[in-house]
Amino acid sequence: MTNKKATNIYHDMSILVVDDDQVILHLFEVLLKDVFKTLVLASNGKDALEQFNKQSFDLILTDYKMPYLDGLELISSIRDINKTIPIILMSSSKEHNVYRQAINLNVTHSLLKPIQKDQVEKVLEKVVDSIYFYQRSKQIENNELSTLKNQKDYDNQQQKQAFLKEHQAIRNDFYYSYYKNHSNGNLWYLDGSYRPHDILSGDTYSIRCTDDNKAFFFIIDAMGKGVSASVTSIVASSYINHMIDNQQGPLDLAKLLSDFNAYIIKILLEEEVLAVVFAEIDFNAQEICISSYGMPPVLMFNDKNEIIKIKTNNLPLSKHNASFNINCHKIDTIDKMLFYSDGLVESKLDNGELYFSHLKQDFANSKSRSSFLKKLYTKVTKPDDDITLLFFQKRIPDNDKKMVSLSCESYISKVEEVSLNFHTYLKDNDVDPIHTAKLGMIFTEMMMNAYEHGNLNVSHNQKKELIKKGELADEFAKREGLYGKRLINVNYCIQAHGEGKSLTFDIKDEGEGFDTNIFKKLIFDTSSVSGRGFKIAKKMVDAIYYSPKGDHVILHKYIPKEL
Amino acid sequence: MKLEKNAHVITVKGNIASLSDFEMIKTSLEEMRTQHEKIILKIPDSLIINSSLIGYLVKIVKRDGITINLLAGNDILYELLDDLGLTETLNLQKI
Repeated sequence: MTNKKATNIYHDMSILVVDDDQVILHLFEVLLKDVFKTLVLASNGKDALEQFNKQSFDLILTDYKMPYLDGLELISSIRDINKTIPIILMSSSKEHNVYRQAINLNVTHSLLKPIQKDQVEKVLEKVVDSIYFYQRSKQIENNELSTLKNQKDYDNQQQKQAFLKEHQAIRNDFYYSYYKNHSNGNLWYLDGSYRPHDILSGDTYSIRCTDDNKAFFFIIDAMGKGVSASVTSIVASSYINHMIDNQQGPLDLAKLLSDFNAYIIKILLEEEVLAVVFAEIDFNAQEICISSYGMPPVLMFNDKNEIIKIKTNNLPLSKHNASFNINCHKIDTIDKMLFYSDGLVESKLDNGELYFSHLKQDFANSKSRSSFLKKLYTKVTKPDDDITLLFFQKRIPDNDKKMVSLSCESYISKVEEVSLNFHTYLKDNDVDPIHTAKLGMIFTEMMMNAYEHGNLNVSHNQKKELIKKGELADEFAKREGLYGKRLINVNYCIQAHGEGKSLTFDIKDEGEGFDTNIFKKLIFDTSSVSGRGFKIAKKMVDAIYYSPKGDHVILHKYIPKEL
Repeated sequence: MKLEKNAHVITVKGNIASLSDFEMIKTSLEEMRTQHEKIILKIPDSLIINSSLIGYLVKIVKRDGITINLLAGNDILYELLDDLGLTETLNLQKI
């Protein structure tokens, strides 16, 4: 063997040589035994197949004419197991028709009999060349795949971190909690919905509770999409939230906007615009003050079932325009409000129509944020922009005589009794069995939360530990002795609503309460089993809100007419 | 999207959707504003215009003193731009 590259490769290879002619086999033994790492000789096809099944080979050289199993039959059997191993077929010049079949079996090289040393060397070199290039291309491919995989892993990690970072910039002091106006008893549900088009979004929002007990909120929609827009929106919202965090005393909206504008115009690019809506609600004075920079109009729905459109009062923020107006409006007759980024109105339906044409009607017909989102995403199945919206809804407490009010002390038997009463109430009011089962389960979960975490003051972590140790029941019994007299107060009511029924229930305990922002962590952490009751309820009801203290929860569920 | 230019009038036919559409319109406006201080931008078909174009138009109006007269053919586009408070700045009119 003269080719150095080929010789080096042979030293790492195993070859199987098959021929029924012992002279030829001996010839190959002499020729190849010091060249290949392993040389195995077989005197017929059957033996060769047994050898092939016993150990792995890099190359096969076989005669065509053999007893028991001829060369083609042997190759066919090998190809059933290995489609790519190089095979050299030896045959005489008279057997040309054999080659057609051999090509079909992916035999790429042949040797003419009688065998000549230089011919063998040439063919082996060719085979080794093809093996060499195959291995080399495989190696390059593997390297490229490995580089791509590393790059992809890196990108995924970056995107995950960036997404979490973006969510850090979103603050909601009213996360799953209601605002109560103590002067008239009205509640306001302040909900946000954020659906970025890419991992990094040009939209952000926040809803904050100020020191003077007002709600201050904003939606930011930075020009364009992706990373650049996201940088602007995160920087802008972080700045505003930092200002709110450090605010002492009543919020001065004009001062905040003036400071923000001075800050942001230094960051904006020459042609960049920032659409923002800022607003502050004084629930006691029943007034909202709005400063909107090139954002779509705010929609309000009043007690006469009319939609009021409040248009933007400023141009979009840019390096060339930072002046602003603030306009205030009374909201005593307003039942719900909608603030949104342009991604909502400019989203396309499957038929190419803009959602713009459906917005007012869907808003007017939606009892809650979840019913609005359901209507929206039934129509807009593939949004092509970020969609951010704030849906605020007033709820006047039910003074309905049909409301059932119960209370029980914090003993498990009493909790079960109240849950059973609720179940019976649903059945008596002709709620279908499926809804009765689901709502009964949610009610029980909420009652257990009030009992365990509320009145008995067992935290999620303590509960986990007690379950592990098998001491939960004992601990409950012990705590019932301490806190059993604490009450759980329950109200529930079913009313006819459209063609179906509307169920409202609320549960109040006498415990310490909790910060509802822990739900944000629970929603992102899908592996956590804590907050199971909340997670189940969130999926099954239309609305769930806690008091700011966390000791009272209200749930609403629309039950459609049974089909 | 297709652009037609005539003296100080740019007509944008079809939908303005992508960033490259914006770049084409911007290039034409940049060329035109070297010779004209008043430019008529006709958009007969598109339902929306992207925020990059809005940003650019606000810049050349507010910083460079160019007068833009934006003529919208589609009622929805007109209403969307009016809702965004751009009627006065861009001299927005219906075609």
